[in-house]
Amino acid sequence: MNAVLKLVAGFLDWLDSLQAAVIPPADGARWPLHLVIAVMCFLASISLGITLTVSNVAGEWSGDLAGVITVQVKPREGMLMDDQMRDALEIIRATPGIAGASRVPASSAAELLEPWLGGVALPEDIAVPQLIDVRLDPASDPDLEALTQRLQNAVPGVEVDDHFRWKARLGAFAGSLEALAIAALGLIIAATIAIVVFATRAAMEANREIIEVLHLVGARDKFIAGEFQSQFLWVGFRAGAIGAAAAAVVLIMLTIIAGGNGEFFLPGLGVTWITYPSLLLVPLLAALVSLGTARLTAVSVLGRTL
Amino acid sequence: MVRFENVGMRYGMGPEVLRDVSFELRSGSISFLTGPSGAGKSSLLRLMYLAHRPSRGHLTMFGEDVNVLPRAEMPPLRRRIGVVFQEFRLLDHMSALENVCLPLMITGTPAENYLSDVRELLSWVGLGDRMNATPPTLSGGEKQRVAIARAVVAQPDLLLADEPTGNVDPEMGIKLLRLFMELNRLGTTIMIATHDMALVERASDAAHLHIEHGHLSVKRAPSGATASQSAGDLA
Repeated sequence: MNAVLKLVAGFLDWLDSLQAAVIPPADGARWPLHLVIAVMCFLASISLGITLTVSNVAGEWSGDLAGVITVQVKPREGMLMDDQMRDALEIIRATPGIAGASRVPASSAAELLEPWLGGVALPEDIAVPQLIDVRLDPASDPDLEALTQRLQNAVPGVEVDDHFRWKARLGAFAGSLEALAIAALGLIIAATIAIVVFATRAAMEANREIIEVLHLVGARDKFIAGEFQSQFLWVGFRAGAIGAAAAAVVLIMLTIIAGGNGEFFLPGLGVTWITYPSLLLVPLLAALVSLGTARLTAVSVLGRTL
Repeated sequence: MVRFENVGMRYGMGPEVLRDVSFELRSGSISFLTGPSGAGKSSLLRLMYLAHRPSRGHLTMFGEDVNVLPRAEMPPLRRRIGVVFQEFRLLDHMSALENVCLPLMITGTPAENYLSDVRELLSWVGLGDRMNATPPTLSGGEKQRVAIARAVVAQPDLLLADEPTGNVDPEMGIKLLRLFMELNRLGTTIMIATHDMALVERASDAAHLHIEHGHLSVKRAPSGATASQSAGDLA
């Protein structure tokens, strides 16, 4: 453990040696500031992970439902189910823009009903609606309204489901989650900016004497602000890396806890692989936010001096 | 080079610490500023090294009216001024060498262009073996010499020194006075605020200004010039 701590301390010292040193780093405020920004970056990483996961899952589900419609044929008195299905399939296959249509096997229909009825085989005399899986030609745009009308005229009791309602609900759900995650990300960035503003002002106050000497020997605001921005650039980068690494560990653990396929609660709702490389952006973003904020704050504070 | 016209100065809403100060420092002149503690010497120097603007009157530095000069245009003027502060104002986390390099470092000049000159200057002021020491480990006299080296390293047009010999032995005091004289001979305008009357008497060619209760008077005009008390024109 000591060796690891020494290694980390050595790495931080090496990073420090890369930065400008006219303004000394504030040792007292160093670790608390790293901790607060690291926590912010951890939360940002989790928000980013949620956004990417939800976006990916919503895309997958929408993709699965796009290009497919389901035709449900309900049993009617005085009519044979096989005749109804044959007529419906003929009409569907004759419609332009349909890539293919196939009857969903009875075994698949039974699987769909299993959660409600259990694994018990249905008696022969119970009429169960039959399903037709219709694949649309992605190159053309079939007139589904006209198809529905023709089917309903020829086969009473038919229902066409283009999954629009589900897609709309899914889109709304995914959009809400994404908006929530983005709002959280925005709040975290705003909080980080506020922290860096506060820390920059504190650092400038602590180094007021040095700043005055620099001014009096002819340093421009740009030079002095550059000293602070380089300090906060590294603070942001280091804290961002720590926060993102912690978030990656948490996401990996969640994936392991969720089971072998790494899905939480719903099919496909798991951490996608793109999440992990995306976390690399967090330290860069933290560094940029810290740099920009420190520079603007320093220039603003210096602007009030002679 | 420096022109004061009826300059008054106060800190915030406090009383005036300088009143109707008028004088002119011509390029290449050397002057001493004396006066009791609290008389206004440091305030006068603060105006001259552009740490403060006059509360009233006109101050012209290098042909620029300081009263209306935008702050963005201050740094080029400040780079023409070297200052030896009474309390040294060295940066404690930097070595003596880095402190002296500071006025050159902030201009973006590459270190290899000036490092050997800075080392030579530090050796000249007797700190050749203390270059890597930080100010907290230096004696008062050593700090004084680092502060002087920092003030002269960029070869300023105007050198302002506040009690530059206050913390050094008489021998080093004379050596530093010679350095100031040499810089003056090379064209640097110099003003030295001091309590050391022996130093003032030693430089008999220099002008002598005296300040008391915020009022400036001329004790001695530079040799070859006529003092004009009413106009305050010294050179």
